[in-house]
This record gives sequence, structure tokens and C-alpha cells, in this order.
Amino acid sequence: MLSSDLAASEEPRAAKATLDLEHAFAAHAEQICRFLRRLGLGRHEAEDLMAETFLVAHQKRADFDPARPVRPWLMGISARLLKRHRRKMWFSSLLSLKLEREAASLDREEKDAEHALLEQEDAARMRRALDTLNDRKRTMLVMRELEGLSGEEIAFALGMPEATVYSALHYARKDLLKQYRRLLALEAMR
Amino acid sequence: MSRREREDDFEARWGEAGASAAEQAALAAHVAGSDAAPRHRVSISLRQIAQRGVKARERRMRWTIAVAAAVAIAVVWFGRPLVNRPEDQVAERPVNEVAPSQVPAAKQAEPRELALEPSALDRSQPQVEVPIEDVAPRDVHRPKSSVRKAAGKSTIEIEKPSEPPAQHVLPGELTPSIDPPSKLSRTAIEPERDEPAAAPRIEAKHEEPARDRGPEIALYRRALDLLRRGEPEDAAELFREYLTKYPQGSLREEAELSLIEALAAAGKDEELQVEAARWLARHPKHPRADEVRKLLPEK
Repeated sequence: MLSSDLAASEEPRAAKATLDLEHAFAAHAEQICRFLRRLGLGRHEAEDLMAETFLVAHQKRADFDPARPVRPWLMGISARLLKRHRRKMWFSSLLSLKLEREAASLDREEKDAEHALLEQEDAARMRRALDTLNDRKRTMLVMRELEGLSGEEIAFALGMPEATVYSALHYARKDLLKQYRRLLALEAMR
Repeated sequence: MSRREREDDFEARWGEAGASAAEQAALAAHVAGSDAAPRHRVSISLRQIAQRGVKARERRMRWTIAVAAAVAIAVVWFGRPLVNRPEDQVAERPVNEVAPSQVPAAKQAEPRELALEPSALDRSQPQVEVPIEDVAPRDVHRPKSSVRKAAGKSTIEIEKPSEPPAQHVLPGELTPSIDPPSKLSRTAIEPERDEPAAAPRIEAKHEEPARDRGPEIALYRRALDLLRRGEPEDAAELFREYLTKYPQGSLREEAELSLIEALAAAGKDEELQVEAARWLARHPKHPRADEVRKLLPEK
């Protein structure tokens, strides 16, 4: 039943699917949501993007190599969708689509309150420093430090050479520390 | 220690980036806090996602159809004036081309040899040659021919393609006294006209193809604008000016009809009758001849 629904949504690109989507959804849906929330999305936005991630995964299932792990592949898809989502939000703000923006900001406020209850001061500062980084660096750091992906997996997820991942991670760490120190200095000045 | 090994070691990789112990601790605390956050319960099932995908696809399809339809309408609507511009229609017709309606039916049929009534021609006129380009559209492929008017008989002879384009003059005949032959009128070979026998009009000039038609078209348009604005008297004057200035103009036929229309609108019955009668005499089989005939008083 489920397969027929998905088949109706998009034409299958290969006769034989190489990805067990139901199993992948059961195993990784929550992790993808958490990953997206760590990248700064609210609860509902994260769920929407997670749903879209699995739709794209279904469309691209013929491209998936079963020898590779599923989680980095799904994370790569969601990172690309997140980039598109941010662009869309930027256009929305440009066109003053207030309703969408307000819903997104409410979502984020809820997330901030949730974090504030749980985090220590230092950890909260580190999170704020992470929020100031650009999307590429932030995605790589979250994948590496919070999600625990290896350099090879990040390279597979983002479609770049492994050596590039290591050097990009190095600069991302330096940037994160710079922002962390700046926040610390700002707090000391108050 | 290789790059990969350094990457696997938390302290090594952060130490390499210049992080102090306190900063490393802050990061570790952030990671731990993030891991300890309550689980995100997914409230959507894979089936709902699939249904959402179907709806999204339908929505995309509708948008695509709407955009394609809008583009098609825009192309048709905005492209219409570009296709039907009067300038284009004028530009397509060569300057010295005669409108098909002005060419007699007998001429259009391209007879191999056309004998005219002897009475229709002036026997005293010298023999002249009229290149067929003066009476036929240039884009029509036909062999070059010449019209020879001998005493009591006029013929059109058609050259064979292999022959040189020399003019055909019968031995012993006089060469035309009118220089250059290209200036001869197309009216000289219209056999159907009931004009006075002594008047095969040799009046029109063979205009240069590269002539600038801008002023000619501008004058016609100005006159037409005046007619449309409800100033038929001024319009009639401008149409007359056009016909005087450009007797072989590309828009001559239109100008003549518009002049008749303007005179009718201005209520100048006498002039209208003169013009209409003259026009009907020249174009008895014109598609709009019946309209013009209605303007004449019934006998």
C-alpha cells in the first residue's frame, strides 16, 4: 500500500529499488529531525524538511549505493534541502510574508526556551557561537561533533573530497572558537 | 599521526584548532546537553509523507500548466501586432510590384501569345518594348518576356531560358523613341481597359528598389489617422497629395480607396462620384468594386 502511494507520487527511476525506505524511516526519521533542529530549525520546520528529505530519498533511491550507510546520505539530502529552505525563507522575508516568518520565529523561541532549561552557561554560549557560523561550516561541525559522522561519511554526504572536508572542518573550528571568544568578551564588557 | 587519526581524537583536533581546555569543556558540555535533549517524536508517518508528495506533484503540475498557458496567451497577444504590422506588409511588396488585383485576368493566366484588339492601340505610336518586370511581381518565377506593339497587333513573346536577355525587336522595326524602357508604364499593356485608344499612358517612373519609403508611408499613415479621427476633408487632401507625389507608390491602391472613403465621409458627392467612377473604370473586377459602386448614384 505504502509502496503504491510512493510510486504514485513519483515515477520510479529504476525497476528495482535499492533502498528499503520503510526501514530507513523507522531507523533515521528522528535522527534527521534532531539533526535539522541542531542546525537551527524549529520543531515543525524540522519535521517538514524531514518529510521532504524522505520524498527526495524515494525519488533518488536508484542512485543510492547499498554498500554505503543510509544516515549520512539522508543527512546530505536534508542539508541541501535546508539550504533551499533558508533561501525560500529569505525570499519570504523579502516579500514580507509575515505569517510564515512569525510561525518560524515562534517555533525557534520554543526551541530556545527548551534549551535554556537544559544547558549550562558555557554550553549555551557555544551553541550561540555555532548559530553565528555560516550554513556550510555549521553543517559540517554539527555532522562531525554532534552527530558523530566521520570525515569520510561527511565527504559522502556533502559530495566533496575527504581532504577538503578535513581542511574545511579545521577552519570551521577556528571560526567557532573565534565566535565563542567574541561572545565571552561581550559578556565580560557588560 | 595521520590526518584521519587526528580527526578521530577530540582533543587532538580541537587542540590543533587552538582551543583551550575550557573551550573544549564548553563544547563537550554543549554536545552532552544536545544529546540529553528530549527525543523528537516524529508525528508524521511515511504514508502521510507519500500523500503529501502526491499533492505536491499535482500542485506542481497545475502551476506548470498555468504558467505555460499564461506564456502562450502572452505570446499570442503581444506577438499579434508584430506579425500584422502594416509596415511589414508594405515591406514585403517590392516598390514596382503591381498588386495582383490590378493585373488583368488574361495577364495572370500567362498566355503564350496575347493578341489585342487593333482598335485598342494607337497605330501611330512607335513600337516599344516593356520588360515584364514592370508588370509582374519580381518574386514570381517566370521567363523574361517582352511586349511588342506593332501596328494593329500587340504580342507578348516569351524568351527561352537559354537565350540571352537581349530585347526582341523584329527586323526592320524602329527602336523605341522613348528612352529608357524601364520608365514605361505598366498601363501600356493592359488590354482590358477601355481607355481612349490614343492614350496608352506612358507616365509612370520605374522607381528604384532601394528608395526610402519612409516619407511615403508616413504621409499615408498621417492621412489614415486623420480619416480615423473623423477629419475626412483633411484626410482626402492628404490622400490626394500622396497620389500626386507617389503615383506608383506601394500604397497607391489603398490610398485610392481611402480617398473615396474620405470623400464619402466628408459628404463631397461630386468629387466622390468622379473619383469612384474613375476608380471603377480602372478596377472593374476589384473585390471591393461593389462597395464603391454603391456610392455612385443609381442611373
